[in-house]
Amino acid sequence: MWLSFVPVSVEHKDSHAHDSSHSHEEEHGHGDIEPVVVKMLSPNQELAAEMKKSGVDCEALAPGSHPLEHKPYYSHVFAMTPRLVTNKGLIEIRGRNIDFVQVLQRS
Amino acid sequence: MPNLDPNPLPYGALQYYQVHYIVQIESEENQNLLAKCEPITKGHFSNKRVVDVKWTGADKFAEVLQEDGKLTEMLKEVMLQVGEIKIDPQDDHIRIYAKWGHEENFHFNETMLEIADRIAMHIKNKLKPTAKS
Repeated sequence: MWLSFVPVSVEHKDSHAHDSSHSHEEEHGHGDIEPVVVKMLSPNQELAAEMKKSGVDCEALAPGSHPLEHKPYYSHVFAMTPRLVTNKGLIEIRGRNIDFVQVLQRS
Repeated sequence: MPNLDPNPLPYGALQYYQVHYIVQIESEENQNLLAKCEPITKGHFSNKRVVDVKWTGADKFAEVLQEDGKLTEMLKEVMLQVGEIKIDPQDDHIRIYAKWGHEENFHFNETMLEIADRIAMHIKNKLKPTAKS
């Protein structure tokens, strides 16, 4: 399930961080609520982040931004090659023999 | 608490992912690089281990890959996880990929990247004289 909803960073804003006066909290009226910010990452962004941690120079590309994403993903020479797949994004690799990494999801 | 559907639809996106390592190279000889790697194993269940790998494919490219000892050693490490590796050439690029994996096992595999990079090196060495810039 981590690929669909990946909580990358959770930020807690503590309303009691500053020793503010009681009147300041009353002005805003949300003194006890701690907002939680959850960033969602697509599978290629998550994979690119893992690659960067391992020292690979790479960058996740925006979905649909490269011509490779609009071409067939298989030559269908091999048997049992799937017909229905979903493109989940490209990662550009620099400084290696590999040029791109593409993530596909089976449909 | 999310509301889980007790009767999920039998179609749509499945929880299986595949990573394609792409070499962007255009050549008339791309189709000669079709190849597949399968493990040769011994034992069963927890005692199963990869003793060797077997490359099959068109032209002499499979032989070049079979003769690379370092590549074979790296393949022995990952073949139990990834199952098989295919080199799937197309007109203007070549794809290297393994079997589909469940999303629970979908993580960055550094050894697999090194393997794909080494295969890509062999591809470029073979096609460089004829590749279109």
